[in-house]
Parts: sequence; structure tokens; C-alpha cells
Amino acid sequence: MNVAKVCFAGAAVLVLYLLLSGCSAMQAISTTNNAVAETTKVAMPRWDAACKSRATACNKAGNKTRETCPELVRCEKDQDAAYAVANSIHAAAASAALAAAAGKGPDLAAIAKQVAAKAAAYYELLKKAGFLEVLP
Amino acid sequence: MNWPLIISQVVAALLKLAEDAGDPVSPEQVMAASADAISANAARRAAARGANTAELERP
Repeated sequence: MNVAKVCFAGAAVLVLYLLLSGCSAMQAISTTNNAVAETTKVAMPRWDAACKSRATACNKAGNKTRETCPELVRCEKDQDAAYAVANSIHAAAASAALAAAAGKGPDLAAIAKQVAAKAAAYYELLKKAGFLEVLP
Repeated sequence: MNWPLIISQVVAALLKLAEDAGDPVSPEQVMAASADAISANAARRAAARGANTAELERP
């Protein structure tokens, strides 16, 4: 018996099993949801540091309030917009899960696609802002 | 080549993959993860805003 053939056949069966059992829409939503949370953990401390450096610069220039430090206000506002996108992804995932748990039968596949699209936009936003060099 | 060792390692890795992917996530897990992420974001944001204010008003 060819050992390699047995290995490949076994792998093919298992991959088929993975495709059939492991790729549910809820699984996809969960994976995206978790990836967004992890991405936030990586990017936001960098964004925090960028905003804090604006605060430092304003402090050194004697501009010690937000009213006199528009650079900081702008930085925080942009960060808030990014947080809003991340939170909207988490909220969409939660509402899909809630509907599924209540047996309302939402179109989870469509929601999974929407969540994935939002996540892609979130990664692009973070990359464009310079706080995410590599896609996770 | 040590075929028994190779086969056992391949089978172990594939079984682990199957186990991970075959364990379906529950809606409750997704809801909890979402709630945790949103509250972590709020806490992180509040801490950063406080740090910025302190930095801005530093003597």
C-alpha cells in the first residue's frame, strides 16, 4: 500500500469534514468579530500614542486646553470614528447571534458577508491612518 | 523515512484541526465576545482621553 496515498486520502476526507462542519455562518461571524477585536488591540494603542504626542506638542507650545489644541481634537475625533466602526461590527455580530439564539432565523450568511465587508473597511481605515502595517 | 512517525504527526495535526473547526460557536459566545470587545473599547478610549488631558494640562 502506498503510504503517501493513504495520507492524502485521509487529509482530503478531513478537509471535506472541515468544510462541511466548520464553516457555518455563525462561525464566520464569530471569527470576524474576534479578528476585529484583536486588530483593535493592536492598532488603538498606536493611535493613542499618536494623539498623546499631539497633546505633548500642544503642552510644550503653551496650548494647554483642547480649545487651543485642534490637532489633538482632530486626532481623537478620527479615532472615535474608527472605534464607532469597530463597535458597529461587534453590535452587528451580537444582534445576529441574538436573533439566532431566539430562533428568529436571520439570514446569517448575508449578515456574515456584511460583517466581513465592514471588517475589511475597518482594516483599510486603520491602515490608511498608519496604525496597521500588516493585515491580520 | 520514519513513516509511522510522519503519519502519526499528520493525523494528530489533522485531528486537532477537525476538533477546533468542528466545535461550533454558540450565539451566546458571540454575544459575550461582542459585549467584551465593546466594553474594552470604551475602557481603552476613556483611559486614553484621560491620559491626553493630563498630558495637555501638564505643568
